[in-house]
Amino acid sequence: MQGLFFYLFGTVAVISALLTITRRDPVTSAFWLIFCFLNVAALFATLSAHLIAVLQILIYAGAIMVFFLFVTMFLGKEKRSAERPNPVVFGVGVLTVGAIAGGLMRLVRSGSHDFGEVGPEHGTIEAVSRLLLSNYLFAFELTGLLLTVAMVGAVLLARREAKGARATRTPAGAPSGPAGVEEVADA
Amino acid sequence: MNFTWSDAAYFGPEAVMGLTFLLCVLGDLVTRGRRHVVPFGTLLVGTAISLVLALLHPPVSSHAILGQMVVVDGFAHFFRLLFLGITFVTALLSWSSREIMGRDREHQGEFYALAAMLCFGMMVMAESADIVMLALSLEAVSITSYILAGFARFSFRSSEAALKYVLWGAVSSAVMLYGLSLFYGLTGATSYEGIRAGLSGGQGGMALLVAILFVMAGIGYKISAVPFHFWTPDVYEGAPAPVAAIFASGPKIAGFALMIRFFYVALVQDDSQGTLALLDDVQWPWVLAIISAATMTLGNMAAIRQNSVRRLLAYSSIAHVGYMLMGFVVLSANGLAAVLFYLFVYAIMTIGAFLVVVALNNRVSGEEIDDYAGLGFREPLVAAMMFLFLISLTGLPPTAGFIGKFYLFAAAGEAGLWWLAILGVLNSVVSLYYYMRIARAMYFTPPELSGRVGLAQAHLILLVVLAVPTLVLGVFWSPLKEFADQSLRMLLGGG
Amino acid sequence: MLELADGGSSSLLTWMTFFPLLGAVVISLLPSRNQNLHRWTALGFSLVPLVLAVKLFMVFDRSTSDVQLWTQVDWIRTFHIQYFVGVDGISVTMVLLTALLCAVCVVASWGIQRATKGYFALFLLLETGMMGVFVSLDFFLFYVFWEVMLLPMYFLIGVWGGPRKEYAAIKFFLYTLAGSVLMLLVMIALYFNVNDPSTGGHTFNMLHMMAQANHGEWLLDPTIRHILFLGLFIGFAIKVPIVPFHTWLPDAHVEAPTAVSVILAGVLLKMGTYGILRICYPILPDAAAWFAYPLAILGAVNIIYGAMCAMAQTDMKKLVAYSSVSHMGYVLLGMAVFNEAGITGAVLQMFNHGTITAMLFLMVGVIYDRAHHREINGFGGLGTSMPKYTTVFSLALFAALGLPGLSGFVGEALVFVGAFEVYRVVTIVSVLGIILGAAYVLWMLQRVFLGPLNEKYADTPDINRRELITVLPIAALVIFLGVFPPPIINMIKVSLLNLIAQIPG
Repeated sequence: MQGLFFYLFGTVAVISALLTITRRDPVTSAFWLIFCFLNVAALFATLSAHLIAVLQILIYAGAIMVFFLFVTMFLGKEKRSAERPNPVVFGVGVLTVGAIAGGLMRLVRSGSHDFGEVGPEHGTIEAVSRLLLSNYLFAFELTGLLLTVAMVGAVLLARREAKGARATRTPAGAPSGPAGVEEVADA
Repeated sequence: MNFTWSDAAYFGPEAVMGLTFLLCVLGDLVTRGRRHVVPFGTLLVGTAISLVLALLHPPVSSHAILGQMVVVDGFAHFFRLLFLGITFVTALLSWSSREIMGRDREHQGEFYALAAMLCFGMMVMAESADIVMLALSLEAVSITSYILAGFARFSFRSSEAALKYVLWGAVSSAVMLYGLSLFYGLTGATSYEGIRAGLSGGQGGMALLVAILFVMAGIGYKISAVPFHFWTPDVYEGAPAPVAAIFASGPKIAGFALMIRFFYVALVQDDSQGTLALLDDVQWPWVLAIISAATMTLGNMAAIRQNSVRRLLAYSSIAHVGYMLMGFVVLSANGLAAVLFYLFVYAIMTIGAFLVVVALNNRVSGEEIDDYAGLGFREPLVAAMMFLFLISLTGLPPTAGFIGKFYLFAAAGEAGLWWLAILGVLNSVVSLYYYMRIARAMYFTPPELSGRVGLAQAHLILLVVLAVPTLVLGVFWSPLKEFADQSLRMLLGGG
Repeated sequence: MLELADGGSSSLLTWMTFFPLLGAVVISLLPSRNQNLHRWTALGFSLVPLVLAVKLFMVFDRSTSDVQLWTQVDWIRTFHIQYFVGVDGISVTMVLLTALLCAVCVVASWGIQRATKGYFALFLLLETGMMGVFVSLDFFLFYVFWEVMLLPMYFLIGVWGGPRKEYAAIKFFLYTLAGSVLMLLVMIALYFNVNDPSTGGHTFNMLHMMAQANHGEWLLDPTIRHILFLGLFIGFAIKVPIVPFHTWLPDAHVEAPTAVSVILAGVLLKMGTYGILRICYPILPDAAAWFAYPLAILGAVNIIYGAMCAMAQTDMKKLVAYSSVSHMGYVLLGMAVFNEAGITGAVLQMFNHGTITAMLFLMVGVIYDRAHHREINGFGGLGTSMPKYTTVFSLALFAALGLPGLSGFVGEALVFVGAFEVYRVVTIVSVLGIILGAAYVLWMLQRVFLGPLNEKYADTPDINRRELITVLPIAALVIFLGVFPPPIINMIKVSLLNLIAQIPG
């Protein structure tokens, strides 16, 4: 039964991921991506990682994608079409994916590592919280600091935007680099 | 598994820096961003306390603390001191920098907070013993760096630099995370020790190679190794010069620390004769040797064509990563000791060179090489010290840079990697050419203006402080070498 | 095999090496306005090594090939690096030459007006570097001095040089560095494969490296030894310079100020051949024997090619520069034959070329100071307007072409005597170099000093007292050693015999 669900959700997730990167319209891509996320969430659920499954839906499929769609719509229709991929990049990508897939296949076949069964408690909110506040407490704290930095940065850059917008109206506030901007591109 | 107070004793310096970050933010808020002395003082005092704690309590053996997530040992201690030193110097150097001050010094407080956070993140990077911490600490440093790169207000180039930095960083982080997940899949462990235990079967094969390459992408981005280096010149040029000085030294060194610990604990085993050997038959040292060769060659070739001092130093810093990777790939304690030695020396000389750029910023006509014309006659002391840093970067005696390079080449030679050593010395010759372009401008070209340039007193003092070890370590370097050797003993002895 | 002389410990060489460095520091602390103060201080600090050199000449024991007057102190114990200096017969002549020429050149630099403080400080630093190269017996120390010397030279050419100084300076720097990094790698290879017999560890000690019994297994492979020899040889060949690595030389010599040209030709070029004698030959004697024939050919090429290039020059300084290439060819040829006459001639030629070419450059500098150009065809009949100058310059030129009775002849003759026994054809071809040498020297003599007087230079003042002071001691030495060479030959003989004894037939 579990095997059936795994293959079902897995196949759908891969197909929708492929559709995400092959659609030319960003909005369509975004919807396929949401669909992919939902399927991945379902995969997590079948692995009894319920908390992760819920987080996947709430954060990725929900918050981030909504934000993404919002920005895409906001930018307007005329900027939406993506360019055709560079064939070289495409080829390298296909090769890399092939290599990884092949490696993983061999790995799974060889069965070198046995992860074992998990208990019914595994993956519940309580179990995850316990882990976060014991083994991974430091990682948890570090993440907290990381978010603080991100916030400080966001405030700093946002305020700068406001200042910068005002400054561009006055000649004195023009970009003050020692040389022209054109040189940036010479790398 | 659980936390004890003895952990705190080992983790004191890091905890102080984390606290310093919060206090800087608070101090800036309380004074409403008007009194920059408060966050500045907080950072200096915090760094000093942290430094004292670290010096008072050097680890005598390897301690895995905080739920085995980080390891405090001699190796961590070495980098801890280095990062605290870098933070202290760059904080001082930024105080009188016009770029950081801006016109109204409005955001200076945040700068000090970010510097504290960066130091904290770098220290944790050097101590991570678990791929969870690896990813998190790397991310902490990266995110802080993004903000610092975009720090110069009103500057279009600073913003562009920050954006490039973020885009490259995000991609490489994602790739690295995927690589780390492969490690977990292969071994079922997140700790480096666990990964080593899981890999000793030697069946990693293709998947292990891919995992290593992907992790290398994340680290390679941090240390700006080819082909993950494209952001470097733009960011060094676009970011304020004090920030560029930090980037050229701090995160790069932290990347090396992280890489050494990860590769040498998780992927290398110590056989009974005390020599290091690969766990698996995946020949990652070869891959890294090629990266090393490509990095030094491309970095130097690109540096030749630069006319901007900052871009030149940026490309040269890429080349230096190539030299240092040479000591990393030889799988020997001598090679690693050479890398540690070089990192220390590299930090001093590269910050010194950037400090000259900071000191001259807005005081000479620009930051092209030609703008430094006649400096040797207008500011003899500054020019002489710049020249000292330049020959140290080239690797000529009697400077610390020569000794560093000598140990790297010796390590490569000892391991029989002659092709890499030959490439390395030829690159040194190439680098002489472009470093001497700056020297030529300073000494051989008559100045357009006469009279002194007029520099901040603080910058002059700092320059001397950096120049002295550059010269002294070139003549007598045993203490540093022994410190580097000793720092590695716990890392490699434990494995 | 080279050994330490018992009870030969002495700090004399350390003083000779580091006293100029002290002078450099003192000068850089002096006020920058008072130029005469810089000059006199520099002179004082360069005379001390000269006085010590006289003492060295007196106390040097000519009966032994052992290393004398040595000092051996641990420097970096963990990497077996020592401060180890000493002299034997090969190096002692070079030390004397360096001390002499440096003192002379300080006087010759009296006319420098621009940034005298920097000039003299760098000059004394250069002297320390050169001395250090000649007295070092620890390879690492040798390398440090070898490189340290490049920096002041780069500046002396680049700041005080002629119109194309920047190009000449960086070219010199790049060429020499390219050579020395090869040497660095060979040094590392030797370090890891030579054992210190007393401790069993690795060593940079040259005396240990010279003892073949200390060589590790890897180092016994002939192919490896040939490669290492080539690496070292190229490093030194760039300095000599041996064709085709010579192209930096005309640029550097022509652009450098007079005194620096003297040092370049008089001392720096000798470092290349000295390095071959001190390092290549004794450490890898079998490879030296294997490469002997190519070396002799290179020597002949240098002689002929240098002389032909010199003939084609219209600039006096360039002519002298190319004549150096030619004369260093004699040294190389003499070194390639491992018999007493050849190698003695080579070392003697190293010393004599140092003095003769110094005179030539000084004389070119004298006329350049007056006429501000060096075109050979731009003068004529100077013999009537500047008789004293003409006399001294002619003496130098005759010494350069190897006139018997002057010191140049002795070295060249010994080289040919030695070489003729071994490589007949090569030697016969090389002798053509003497004819070519006579041609360019006499031709220049005729165009500059004889013939109708160029009216433009009729009122040119003759050589003055300061200039005479610089050149007369050297001229006396050239004449004295031409008539009576034993003082030098006796110093070098035992050491050279010891050296060639180690080279397998």
